[in-house]
Amino acid sequence: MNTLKQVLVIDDEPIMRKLLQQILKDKYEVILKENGREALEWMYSGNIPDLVVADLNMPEIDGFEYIQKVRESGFFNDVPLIVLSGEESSSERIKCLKLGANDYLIKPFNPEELGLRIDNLIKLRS
Amino acid sequence: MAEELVYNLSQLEELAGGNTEFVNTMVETFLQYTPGQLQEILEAYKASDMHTVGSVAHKIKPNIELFGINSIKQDIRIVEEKGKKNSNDAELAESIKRVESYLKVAFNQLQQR
Repeated sequence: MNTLKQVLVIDDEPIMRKLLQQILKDKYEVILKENGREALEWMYSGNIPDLVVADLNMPEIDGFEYIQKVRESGFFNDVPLIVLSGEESSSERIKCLKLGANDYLIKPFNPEELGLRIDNLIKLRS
Repeated sequence: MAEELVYNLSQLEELAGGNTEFVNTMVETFLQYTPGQLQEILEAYKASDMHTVGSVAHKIKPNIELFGINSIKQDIRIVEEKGKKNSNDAELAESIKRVESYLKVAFNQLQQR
């Protein structure tokens, strides 16, 4: 039985998805989705991840809309969510935090820092 | 004389922790997607579609850092910011030219590594 905690990674950049999988795969079960729509479809088919790492600029359903939908839902509003984006402006960060993101990291990121933030948020929840 | 490399994979190699297969996969993925993204920027710039110029530059930016193409780290930021602000000026033209030129060299060098 797989006892690893599940981290859902949402990013439309293939390089970023592969990089995050490489960084996280030893500690977590990593689920990769290309945009907010795919992620929501996966979640609404009965999956609740232990944490989400989401990009902002994505086709179909972007990160902002994704956070909003997740936080408005009755099922996923307590799932920890980290935004990982190349957007550096504080207005974007504030917007995400207001929508309900728990944390925000700017790309390019320090993998150790991301890992620690993920660990801490998952520990807090469990 | 050997051509100087415009990329540096040390960050990627460190993340890979000795997994050369991972590094190769990342290089392949970079070569698979980034030339198309560069083309998208060039075509959007030609068509004065500044929004696309900015948003595609935004996507490429972290990959340029990851692959250590340090000579254009600042240029890709200029392309992103000026694109988003719809600010089509000489500095943008110069940065796009440099991004195109360095990326094309990087594609060739990475293909031959």
